[in-house]
Amino acid sequence: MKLVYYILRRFFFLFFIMIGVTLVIFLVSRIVPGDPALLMAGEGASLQDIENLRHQWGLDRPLHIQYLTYLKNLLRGDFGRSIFTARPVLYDLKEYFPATFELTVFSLLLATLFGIFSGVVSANHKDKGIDHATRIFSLLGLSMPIFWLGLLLLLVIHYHFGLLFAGGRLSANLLAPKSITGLYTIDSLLTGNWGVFKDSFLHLILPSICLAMSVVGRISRMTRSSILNVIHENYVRTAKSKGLPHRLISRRYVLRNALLPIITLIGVMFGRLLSGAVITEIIFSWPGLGRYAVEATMSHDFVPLMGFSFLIAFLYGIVNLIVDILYSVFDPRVELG
Amino acid sequence: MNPLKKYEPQLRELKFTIYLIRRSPLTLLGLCILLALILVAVFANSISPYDPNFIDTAQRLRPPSLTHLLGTDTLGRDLLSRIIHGARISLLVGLVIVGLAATVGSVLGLIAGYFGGKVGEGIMRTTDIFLAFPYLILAMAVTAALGPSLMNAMLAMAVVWWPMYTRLMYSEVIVIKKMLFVEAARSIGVRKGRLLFRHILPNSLSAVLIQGTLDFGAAIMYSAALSFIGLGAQPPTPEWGSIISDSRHYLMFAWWYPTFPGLAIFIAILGTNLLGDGLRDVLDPRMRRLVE
Repeated sequence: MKLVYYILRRFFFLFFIMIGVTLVIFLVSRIVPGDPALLMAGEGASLQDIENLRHQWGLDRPLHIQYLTYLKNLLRGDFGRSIFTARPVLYDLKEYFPATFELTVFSLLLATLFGIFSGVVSANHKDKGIDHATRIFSLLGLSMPIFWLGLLLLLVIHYHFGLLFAGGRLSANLLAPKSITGLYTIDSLLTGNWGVFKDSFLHLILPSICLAMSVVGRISRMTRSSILNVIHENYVRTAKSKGLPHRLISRRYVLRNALLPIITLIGVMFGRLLSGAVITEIIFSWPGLGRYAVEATMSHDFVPLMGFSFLIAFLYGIVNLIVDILYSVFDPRVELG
Repeated sequence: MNPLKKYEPQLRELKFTIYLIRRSPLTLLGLCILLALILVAVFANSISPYDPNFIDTAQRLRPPSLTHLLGTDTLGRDLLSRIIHGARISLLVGLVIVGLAATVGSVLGLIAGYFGGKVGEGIMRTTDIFLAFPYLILAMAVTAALGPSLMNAMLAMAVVWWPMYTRLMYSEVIVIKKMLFVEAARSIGVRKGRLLFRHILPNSLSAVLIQGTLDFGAAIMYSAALSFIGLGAQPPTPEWGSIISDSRHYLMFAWWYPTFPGLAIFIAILGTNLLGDGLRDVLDPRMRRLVE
């Protein structure tokens, strides 16, 4: 019961945060120097045209009315229309979302698995060669700008060794699998299309490695220090003195408790991955949300960027909500408040 | 009386800090990297072999050689000279972003933590809203709104970054303001302003300093990322991120073009990470005495 109350409270909190988010996005979009109506009308438009556009888009109304209209439309799922293509932004977001989702989730999976594994190895061999090696590796990963790493991966692995695929989600001669989840790798497996699966998977690996590198070091370091903390707890000593086998202790007693802080970290890391996805998508021509938003921005079309920012903040909020709930479920000591 | 006598405790602490830094080779390495960067930035004009914007189309996309140590770019400009001048920009960018964000953020955190109440609540809820965006996303939106330029990218990063410092300062201040020495100062009638800036602020500053050092590298990385996207520094500015952005189309024929400017960013960030991690161990009063 307490948990249900907690979840409801968190949802309530998220709702207010999202209201704040819309306010920030709205204000940011209104500091655009230059008149949006002027931009929409294009060169050579008459004053009357511009005035009409301004009226049509409600730009001549007071700022707070404009905000309320924006909010009302948003609640109905209306993200506005792109100034240039006149397509509803919601359609575009829906279309590009699965690609970004596939990329970030696969990277998160990769980073978590590898991070926890190397953290465990590191903690088990504290201050030995392999511990130093993972420390250096994670420091390098943290210091490497993602756009540089992406280009180097392209340069060395793809161009030089001719391995894997780079650019897009699928080779041009293949058709996308029937959309079930929108994730090509999953959909092709579900429809049993082995060739498409292999192709989309080979496209996915390089961008995912690039994206995962930015967070894997932090997960690895956190796992290590968390394990080293837990190892000295009394219940671990008790288990050891009872003569329980080493494997059982490290799985059931140490790892299970040591991984709790990692759950929280994953929520934070998700934000980094969403930021990094924008850059990764540009480098690997990945047809996702980030690339869509940047391309729109480059043509001075800020409506898609507004929708994109809202969606990303919303996703980030939801993921962190889930993370907090999971944490309280896994750790009964956490006071729900 | 020796005028230095008054500062003897501070001097002793400073000496101890230097001793601790010297004990840790990685911190020292980080410090050296940063110092080297600063030197390169200051003497950029005298050490760079060519004018960073000198165009020589006869020499375009030449691989590293004795005349052009790191090769040339698509307009025949010397990459080494451009990277050297890029150090200036990147250091300035890091300083401005972290300086602005840390100053504004810390003052707001100090106010929120010390006075609390409605003002404090308002400030902290505002930070919640800003932290609801992943860094780069909000920075992208703000830069796009202001118009792409290095100046606007710096401003946008500061807008995105201040809440971190407000939170940090807030959590420090609410602990410190309940400590006995603050209570004692208040009871002998120390005024509010003095209490805030002479007693509470100095004691919470080391946390800000550590975070600032770590963020310095991150600020360089994010602003380079904005330039890479095309929202930050505009050509022909020799900014590291924008040089890498230019190199994207020549990846297949010119490996040196993205490699070296990226290496410069990497080294700069590595340096601040090493120094920041080291400073955390050195300046944290809880860790500080453990080594003795």
